[in-house]
Amino acid sequence: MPGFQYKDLMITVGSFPRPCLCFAWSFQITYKPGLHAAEALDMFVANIPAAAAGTVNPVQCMYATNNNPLLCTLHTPYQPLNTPVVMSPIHNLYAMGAGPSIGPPPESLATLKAQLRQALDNIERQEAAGAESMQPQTEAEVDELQTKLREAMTELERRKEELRRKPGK
Amino acid sequence: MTTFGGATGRFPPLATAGSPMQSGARTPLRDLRFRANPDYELVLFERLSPSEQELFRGLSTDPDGYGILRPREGSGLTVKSVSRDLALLLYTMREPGTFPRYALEGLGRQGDSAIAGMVLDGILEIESDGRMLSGAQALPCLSPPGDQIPQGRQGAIASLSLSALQYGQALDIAEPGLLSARLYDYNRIPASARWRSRFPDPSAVAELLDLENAAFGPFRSDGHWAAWQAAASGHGSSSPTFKLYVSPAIEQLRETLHAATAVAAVPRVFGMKVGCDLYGILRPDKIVLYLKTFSDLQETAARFLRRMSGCPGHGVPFSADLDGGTLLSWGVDPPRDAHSVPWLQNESWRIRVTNRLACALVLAKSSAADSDGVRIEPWRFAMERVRLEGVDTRTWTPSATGLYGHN
Repeated sequence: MPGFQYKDLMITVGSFPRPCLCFAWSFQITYKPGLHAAEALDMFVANIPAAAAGTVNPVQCMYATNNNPLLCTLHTPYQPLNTPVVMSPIHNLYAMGAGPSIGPPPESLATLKAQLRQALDNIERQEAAGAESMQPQTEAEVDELQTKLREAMTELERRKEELRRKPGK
Repeated sequence: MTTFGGATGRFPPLATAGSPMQSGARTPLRDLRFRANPDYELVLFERLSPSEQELFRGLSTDPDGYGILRPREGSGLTVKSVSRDLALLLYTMREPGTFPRYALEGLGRQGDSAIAGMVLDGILEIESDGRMLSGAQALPCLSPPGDQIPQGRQGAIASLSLSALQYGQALDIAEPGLLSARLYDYNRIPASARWRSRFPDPSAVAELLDLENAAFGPFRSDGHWAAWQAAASGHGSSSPTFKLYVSPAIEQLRETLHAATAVAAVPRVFGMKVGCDLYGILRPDKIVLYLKTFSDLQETAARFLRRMSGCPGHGVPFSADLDGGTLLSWGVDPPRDAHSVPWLQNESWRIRVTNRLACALVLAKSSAADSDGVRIEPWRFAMERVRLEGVDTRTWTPSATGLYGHN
């Protein structure tokens, strides 16, 4: 940047360093080979571990309407609050000025696959943990649930008897 | 099948890069007094917080970079990166005074335009009647009304672009990125129930495009764009890329696409893409051809128009007029800026223009009226701002030299 140069970074203080609420930056992991710039892939790989930690709630991005690919050039991939970053495959063709690019190197794909596997393992662990938390945790809770079940069974029996007595049934 | 033809292929030349603010200013800018805008805080890169440094990581690789200008909240100003020379200038100009001689010599022939740009962008303030002004409020000091954008007949794309800009002004959006996206998206056709039923899935769009019978290929699809690239284009990311936008009405998309591939002389055209899903064919820039030089672009456009002149167009806002209609237009992507923040490293022509316009609109909309109660229309201010950079806003044509850092 020689001379008296400056560049507008397209952000206001109000939006900085607040994290971006962009779905595509947060959890879109539908990678398609051959469509990412290597740089995008690097960002993807670099941030997958954070994504795997489950620190993000995906939020629909206001830019994402109508498949607008602009979000890739208007949003920072470097989230100030350590929000993980994942580039969407739709970004690349749009972002490059000189036509389609070739795909990422094979070694990056191998790394990517390993990171994706780790991410999926973590998500499954979180799901399992979520299922356990739904179970009753004390004897009193079990008693209460059993009482409700008995009441429900009694109500169903009563309803069944009513239906039997109806003419034509 | 409809046939089109008869165009002569005469196109307007590139705009002349100039300093529009220079000729009409009442007093040479170098004789006026300026000050660094106190609404900005100059922050050295290393003194940013860790999260800010992470955010602006790309800037730290610039050997001439200093840091950022961080605006006061509510000022309507945007964060800017600054070079070392500019940082020194801003430190020098914390108190009002005439422009330092060393800086004028450094700016050279573009001095007045550069100074005007810094004032309009809110980096500097200019003294007028005892007040320090910047942004839209300073425009009358820099460009008297008679020197502003000439009125007159506009081409279809220029008219469309003006409508887009006025639409942007009407939106209650203060975030430049979002506003830029809305400007960029202007004139897309909504994906209504009618279009969804006509093109319920990608195969329906594929049937329309009939890419298998295009003059060259193969086109690789990412689900949104189907793209082809010459095996060895020899075109580097450090060179500007000329883009020919082909914007037919959807009914003419297939024959337009096939005509484009038929006239595209490889290797002059080294890349091409076409929208291949519903959203892709509803956007105005449905087909884009990539070329190395403006003369290649002109020749390709002329050949195309000989076959397709009269074909109904859709119209790509903020692209440069070619024939007064909406079917063809063009732009030039700047070279990749590796020392910028990631989201600005690969700006296309239209994104760069809409980014500049959006920043100017946001700034102008936050400006108070002047002492006479007069407030410049934000859209007009935005057009003046990009005109200062060499864009002819009557045709949205980029200048042949010096625009956005490439010749």
